Amino acid sequence: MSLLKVEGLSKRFGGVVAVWRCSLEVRPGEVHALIGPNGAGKTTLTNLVAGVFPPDEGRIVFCGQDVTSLPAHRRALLGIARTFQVTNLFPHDTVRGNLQLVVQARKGGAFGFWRPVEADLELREEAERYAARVGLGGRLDVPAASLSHGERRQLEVGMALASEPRLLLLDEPTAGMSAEESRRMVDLLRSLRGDVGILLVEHDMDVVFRVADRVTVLVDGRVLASGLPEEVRSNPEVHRAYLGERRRRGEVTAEAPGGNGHREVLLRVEGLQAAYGTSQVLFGVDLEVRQGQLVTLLGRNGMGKTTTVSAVMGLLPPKAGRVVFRGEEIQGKPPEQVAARGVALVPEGRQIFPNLTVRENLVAFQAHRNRSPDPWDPDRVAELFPRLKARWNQLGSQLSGGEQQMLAIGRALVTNPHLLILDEATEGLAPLVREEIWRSLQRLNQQGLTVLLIDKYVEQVSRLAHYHYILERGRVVWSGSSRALREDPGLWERYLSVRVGDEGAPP
Amino acid sequence: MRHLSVSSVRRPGWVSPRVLWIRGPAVAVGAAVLLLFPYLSEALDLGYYQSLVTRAFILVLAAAGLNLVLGYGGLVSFGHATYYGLGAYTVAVLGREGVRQAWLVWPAAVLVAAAVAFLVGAVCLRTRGLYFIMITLAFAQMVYYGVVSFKQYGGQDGLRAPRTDFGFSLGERELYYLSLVVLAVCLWVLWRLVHARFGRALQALRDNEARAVAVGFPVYPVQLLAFVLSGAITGLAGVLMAHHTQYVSPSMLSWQQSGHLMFMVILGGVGTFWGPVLGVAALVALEELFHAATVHWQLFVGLVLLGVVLAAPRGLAGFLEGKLR
Repeated sequence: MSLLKVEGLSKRFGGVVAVWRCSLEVRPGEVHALIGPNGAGKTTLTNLVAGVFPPDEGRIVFCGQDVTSLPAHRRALLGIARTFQVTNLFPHDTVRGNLQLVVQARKGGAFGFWRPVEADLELREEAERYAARVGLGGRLDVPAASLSHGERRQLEVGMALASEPRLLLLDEPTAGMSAEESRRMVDLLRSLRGDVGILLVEHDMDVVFRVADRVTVLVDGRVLASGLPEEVRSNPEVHRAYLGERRRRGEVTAEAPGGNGHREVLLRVEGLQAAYGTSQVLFGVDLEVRQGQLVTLLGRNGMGKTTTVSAVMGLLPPKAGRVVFRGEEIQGKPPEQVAARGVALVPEGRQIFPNLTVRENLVAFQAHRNRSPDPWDPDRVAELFPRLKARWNQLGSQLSGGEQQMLAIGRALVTNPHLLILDEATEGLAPLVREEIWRSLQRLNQQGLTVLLIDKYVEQVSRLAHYHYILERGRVVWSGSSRALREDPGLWERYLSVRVGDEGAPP
Repeated sequence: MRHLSVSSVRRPGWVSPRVLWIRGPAVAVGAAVLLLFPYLSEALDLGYYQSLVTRAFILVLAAAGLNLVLGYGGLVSFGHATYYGLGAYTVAVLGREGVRQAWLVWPAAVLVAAAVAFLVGAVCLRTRGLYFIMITLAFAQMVYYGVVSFKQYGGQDGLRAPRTDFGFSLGERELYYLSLVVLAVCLWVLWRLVHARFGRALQALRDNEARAVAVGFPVYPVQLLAFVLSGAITGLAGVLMAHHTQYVSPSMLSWQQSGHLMFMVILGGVGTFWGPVLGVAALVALEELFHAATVHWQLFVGLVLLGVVLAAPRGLAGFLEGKLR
């Protein structure tokens, strides 16, 4: 008997078909991977199974019971647990509090009116057991908002497990994780195989082919292929639509020219220190971005990459150090003033406006900050990203991850900045979409735009960029040209947690 | 690992010795002052202050009732004067009809407030955000105009509200103690409620509804129950207020009254347990202070409140918590 059976499921948003007559089956105890390009409808399908919204047609059968019209919380209590693509916790609660809520929902629910939950040792102990299981045993009293990105993902999974599900819906559990963290996640998934059925949405093919028993490929809301991993991997149609051909990667290899010593310095950061409250993250970062360069900021999670760009943007006032942009000191200036001088940030997690249409998102930000003779406007963004043109009047919230990312880049471009900063611009995107983003960044750079890029796909960005900085514990520990970076594999292992042979490792 | 985490790490509810050192004696002195206050004020010939403190108790009760939905539920009800006013009007209307037994009138009044809260909540909780605010206000205005149109019960002019019969004479001093006891019991019940499973679920839905639903908490029943309990407590405050003023008027149901209640909660600290107490204490004290000094007292009260809200975004309770940790 199957654990989950989805039959002929369809869902439209406005005029756009997100999922069209999808059928798939998850057997008890198997890991079933759901892969496909961004916008293929993977998250929509997950949401349909979880009961976030009802399908337009089709049936969802769980453990022999038709749950199509059951509300989400009832499905959760039947044993369907999920994680969210973007980490989604109770931020003010501690790790223990978050887990305790899940255990509480499973054991007795919301309607206890007298006994304090703090005095309920059963809840506490069970919560602590699950914390230990996902490696958070030592972080029980830390508020979820203070956890690192990787730890939050661990807590997400812990919460899904704590509901003792029969079916686990995991939406990109390794998104944004370092190589080390995602290896741990793979181990955890493997240890669950056999006990829990898992529907796994994942872009990291390494993870998929290491843990999946069966794979379903979704393209444009339709099931393109389904079967054993080897069958899917060798399916030519799947290659064309999603995985991309090995050789095509080479197209983005136009080796960038080496660092250009005599160009004008656009951004100079000197001895930058910054802290969140009492915990210092940056201990003196020095770097330079020259006019027309594409520069990357590399390093493992938690080493200060996002903090550095936040401090440059003025989102986080630096404790010490100087930030000089076009000859003017801008450290400590509020973000809107930094932006007005021509720095545009594409933040991690995109942060587009969900209730504005694509066009409105772009029009709202249009400005002319670098006085170039050929300014960016929404129509030019549509030329750069034809996919956005097709979604011109859709709300931001209805876009897929890849489209949102393109919109976020477009939104930064229409401000006509001198410097474009991108924080994890390819996180959680399908391989082909990643390529598309990198290609457009390269094109923008060739047209003269200066770019500072944070990205975890070191090998690919080393082909685009002129110069690299590696951060380790809040300091720049290495900087150099792409050639120097690629000729030193030791560097990769030491500072980037990339082992030779992994995806993203040097060839 | 688990052993270590339980014994060596700060547990929730953990209080530093410094705070206990301040807290223990402060609570004892505070309780003694509250218990002896009527005798003190009469001895010093300050009977007015006894009445003022009684009024403050009642307002704390109303604000604490509102705080359950506004603070712990994250539901901005802009119509809680409805339950407050209906509690009071039930006392007056039953009194006019000759029903004065406390054991009949009090439960009836709370029941009326709870029933209306159920009906209003059942509709309003299907909306969110701004719509929720507007629709709670709309219901409150409907009830307001409904009450005004009952000419036989005073209409615009209001109505005398005789005190109910407890089998002993209910003077100012007895009313003081009655309000204190009702408030203490309700605060105790609320304390248990927000720290029990129900309170945790309510706050989880406030903090992250999508996640709380995915975990298995039902939104509607939890929030509706909170709304009804909140209406009932605010209605009970209305009953006490009717006893205090011995007069009810439609202004008790007005949107200004709703705003006043919200303001007390926000000033004290939304979603903090002691926020309503602090908010009412501060507001009543300020009004008294400036009222005595100038005819333009409202202007100065407003300015002070503006300052507090700007300096302490999490209200007085949040401000004090920061100082005492």
